[in-house]
Amino acid sequence: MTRSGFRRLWLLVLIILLISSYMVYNKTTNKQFEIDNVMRVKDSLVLERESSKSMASRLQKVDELTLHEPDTTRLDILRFLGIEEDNIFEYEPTTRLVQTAGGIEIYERTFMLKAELPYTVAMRQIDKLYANEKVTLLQVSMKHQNVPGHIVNVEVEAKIYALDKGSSYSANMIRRKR
Amino acid sequence: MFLLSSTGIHIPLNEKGDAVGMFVPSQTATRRFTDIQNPSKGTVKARLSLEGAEQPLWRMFDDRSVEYYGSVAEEITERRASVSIYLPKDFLPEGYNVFYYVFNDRWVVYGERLISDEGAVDWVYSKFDTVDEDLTDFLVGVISDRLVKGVREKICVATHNCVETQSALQESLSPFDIETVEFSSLKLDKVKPIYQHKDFGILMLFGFFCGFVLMVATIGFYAKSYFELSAVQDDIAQIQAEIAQMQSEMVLGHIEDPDDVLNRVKQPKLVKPSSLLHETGEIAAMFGTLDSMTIFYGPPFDMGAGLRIGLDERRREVITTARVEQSEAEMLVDQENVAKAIVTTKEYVREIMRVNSEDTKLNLSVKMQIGETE
Repeated sequence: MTRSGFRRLWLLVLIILLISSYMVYNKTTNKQFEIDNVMRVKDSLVLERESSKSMASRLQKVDELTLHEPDTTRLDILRFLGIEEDNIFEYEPTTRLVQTAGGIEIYERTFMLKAELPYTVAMRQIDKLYANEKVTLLQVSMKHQNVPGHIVNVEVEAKIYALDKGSSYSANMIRRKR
Repeated sequence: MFLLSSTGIHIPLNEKGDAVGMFVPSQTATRRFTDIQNPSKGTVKARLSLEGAEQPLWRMFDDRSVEYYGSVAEEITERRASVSIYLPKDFLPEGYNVFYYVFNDRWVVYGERLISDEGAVDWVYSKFDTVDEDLTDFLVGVISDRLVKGVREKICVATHNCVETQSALQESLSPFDIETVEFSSLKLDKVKPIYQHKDFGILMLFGFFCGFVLMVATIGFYAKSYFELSAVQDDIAQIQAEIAQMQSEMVLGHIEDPDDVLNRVKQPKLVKPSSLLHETGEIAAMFGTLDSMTIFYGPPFDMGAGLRIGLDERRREVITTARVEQSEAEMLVDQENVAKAIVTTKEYVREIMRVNSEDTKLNLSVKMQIGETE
């Protein structure tokens, strides 16, 4: 091949390489813009997912700490308090108030728990109730009984909360348990 | 080494690689120009109205005048490897004024330096083809003719690629005290060629390589962006699916602000009631026989007659009450001393208050610190 022929071929190849590089680069910059856009969408979705997750966990917590008001029975309440099998306390409901919080109605159920117990057992039972996140203690009284065996008369005033969790709630709970 | 003149190429260029050529200019074709501004290959070509691949053979002098000797054949200019073409005198060592260069046992290039009356130096060149006669006889003849004239001059005889005549020439010229040298021993000393083109093959290859690397890099960048975009789009689809699943499984979705509900429902757990009750009982027992004790988990309030009860979350203080059977003989000052002793020994007990009731019972309120204040 002659010198000028080789030079022309070289120029042609070089120009093809440069033009194709430029075209590919242009396409790549478009892709990069696209990536920037979808990254923004992804970031907003990640935020939405995190907020949904956080919302779900907080709602789960609310679910755990409250009863479903429409179906609540005495047994439900004792089960909720974790004392349905002990048969230690005498349960006596006192008031039921309706308040508004978080855009919904909250039912505040106040009750009394009474028992005559040995001092140490009474202390343990009061601590157990206090440790239960679902229960809010209002007042604890202990009165000495003039009987042998360090028996004390314990009165605990406490409250629990209930919500109307919706008509589909019971059905969902049954499905989840299954 | 190749030889050419204005009549053509006499010794063709066969070997590959860089080549050096000698051009024998004719006296008639040589022209001198003093009107070329900024002499260069382009300006000289323009001045001579040369077109296309025809390239001028020229040289610029110190006074910026340009001497044109002829043009190069396309066969030479289209050669891929480097080519440099010089005038015959460029090879002549210093001190000589006449030369005979013999090429391939056939061609003889002759040159002589002439000095005019004004002192101007000029060179005349000739070339001879000795194909029909004996080279040694021809050369001995012309040299002996010169020597007969009796002019004092120094003659250089150089041979190139002369396999057959080298030794004969050496032998024949030795009586004239002229030594025959190999042409390859003659050096070009800082002289610019009258034509030159360089081999830019490596540079062009490097340029091609750079262009190729650039294209590969852009394709790589494109591929990376393509896969990155696909990955992000997959992530988005996955996140959307997760959100949809989360929303479908979400319970109590009708609650607008679960934090508000949680703040209402959750009770801060500061201290176990058993600790408070036991401590209250221990303190109360120092004043008489313990009858009852009470903790109230709401904000402190006055129960009457100055007796307070409650829990101050902000100040981390709890006030409990106790009721004890007091001895009728108990002195008020003794009770004060007991209270002082308790407050002194138990650092967390901040205050003990007593309120006498109508009977023999004594009501006490005990204020205790249950942690660091906020």
